[in-house]
Amino acid sequence: MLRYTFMQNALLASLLIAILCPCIGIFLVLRKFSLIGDTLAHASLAGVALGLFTGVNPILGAFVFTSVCGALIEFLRGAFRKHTDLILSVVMSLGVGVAITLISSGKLRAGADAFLFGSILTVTRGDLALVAALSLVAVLTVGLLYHRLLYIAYDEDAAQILGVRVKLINYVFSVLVACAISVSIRLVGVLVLSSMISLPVAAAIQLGRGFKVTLLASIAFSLADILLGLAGSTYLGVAPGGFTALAGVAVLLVVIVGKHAWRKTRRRRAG
Amino acid sequence: MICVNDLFFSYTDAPPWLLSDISLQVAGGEYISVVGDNGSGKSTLLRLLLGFLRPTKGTAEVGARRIGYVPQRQDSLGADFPITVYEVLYSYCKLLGKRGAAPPGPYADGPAAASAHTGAFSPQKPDATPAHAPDAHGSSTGAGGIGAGGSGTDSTVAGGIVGGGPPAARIPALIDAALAQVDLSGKKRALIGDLSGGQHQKVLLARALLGDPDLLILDEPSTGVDPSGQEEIYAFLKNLNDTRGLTILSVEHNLDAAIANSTKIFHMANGHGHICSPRQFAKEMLGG
Repeated sequence: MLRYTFMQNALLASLLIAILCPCIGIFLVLRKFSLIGDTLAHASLAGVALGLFTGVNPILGAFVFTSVCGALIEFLRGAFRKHTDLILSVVMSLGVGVAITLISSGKLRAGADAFLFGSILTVTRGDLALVAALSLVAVLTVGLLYHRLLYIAYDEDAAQILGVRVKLINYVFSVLVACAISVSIRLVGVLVLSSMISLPVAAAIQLGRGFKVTLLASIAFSLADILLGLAGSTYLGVAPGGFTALAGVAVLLVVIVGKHAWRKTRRRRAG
Repeated sequence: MICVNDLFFSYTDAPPWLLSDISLQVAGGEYISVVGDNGSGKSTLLRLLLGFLRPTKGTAEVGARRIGYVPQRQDSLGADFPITVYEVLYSYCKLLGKRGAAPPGPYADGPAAASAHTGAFSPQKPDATPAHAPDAHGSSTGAGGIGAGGSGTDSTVAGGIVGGGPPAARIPALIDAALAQVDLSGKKRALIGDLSGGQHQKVLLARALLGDPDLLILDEPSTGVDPSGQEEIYAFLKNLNDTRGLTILSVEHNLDAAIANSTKIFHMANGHGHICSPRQFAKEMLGG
């Protein structure tokens, strides 16, 4: 299977996605912002459509448009302090509105369907280079801002008193979310992209460990999810997006059931 | 240390005021408790002092070199957050250097020294102190918890630090010392969510003392803490104030603790406030 270039590209892209998504997702999930990931994933379709409309690489289009939407969410947060959920509706309407308008115009240079469900056939070498560059920059940035991001998520007041520039970091973080989304969009697709961002983290949280262990575990689960998704997609001939999401749910369930079983046996041994 | 003058505040910058004509001067070394009913404006005053809010009129100036802040214990802070005690303290240390340049050598008398000077919740046995803690030598002499022997070792521990934050190599020792002073050395690897109310509050207190603050601000430190834990926390605070001269401002709903421990009380009602001695305040309470 791996002698095909498209398969190699897809596999390399999966590894990058599996590392990057939980690194960003863990902060989104712990700040109870998982829905922001979902909103931005949907908004990224507009970036894809804009890219296909103007002839720019759709992944780059998704990155730029999603960054703008992420910044917009941060900006609107000041205006709708008590109704942050409303902001998500606004940004989702904007993104999906642009996407549907462009796609239905029939003037796109290529089909956008592959970006909805994900596809392993379409990851080109050029895409892979862009995906690698975005992943590298994003992971390095997370490494650099690790303690600041952690404290903003855990105790924003304390971060502010320590002199962390919370607002600025929040803007930087929305660009990081855009990175994670545009990196994943080819393979996983818009519709279930948030599964890559939140499901591995949800499974890792179940382990009940510290932050670093949770982060490493979520990367491991994310690798499992996407490799299962890729394998399922190859052998069943279905879109990788759907199967990756299913793998994510399955891994989460296994972790929850395993946790309860382990607790039970431990209690039995203790009693 | 704290200078509030003719302060008015509301979120809309117009009447009705949440805080109206507040003036409060706190000198270094005082222990002020801010008391008042719910809605009296004490939390709003706290947020103004911490710089989260800006006064509509008047001024609220805090002249502290570094503020240590102990937030009110809430479920949102930590109960379901996958983070260990060590990680909470480690990242805090890493961020200590972020706020501009601190005076030279802030750690010369820093948290490591704090554990030696301020005593602990209970008398420390020498074997209760981790072997690699900076005050390991001192603890053998300071069986009562207020050992003076630590200062000699501290200067070597803290020597040659420039800038605001501790160097990475020193952080584990700082954390050990910080936890030892609140008697939680054994909880280093515990999840924050697995701690009791009192233990959690002590971790937040230990955290606030990292970086050697000259002002400690607390928001209802006894909320969600059992009576024996409350006793320990207030004894610890009083000791910090007495022996180290640390200035403390505590928003307090525990009136007995406020009367017993503070040097002055700022009594708030309906957005107004006045300063009084604990004795006056006790009289007002009985009279009212």
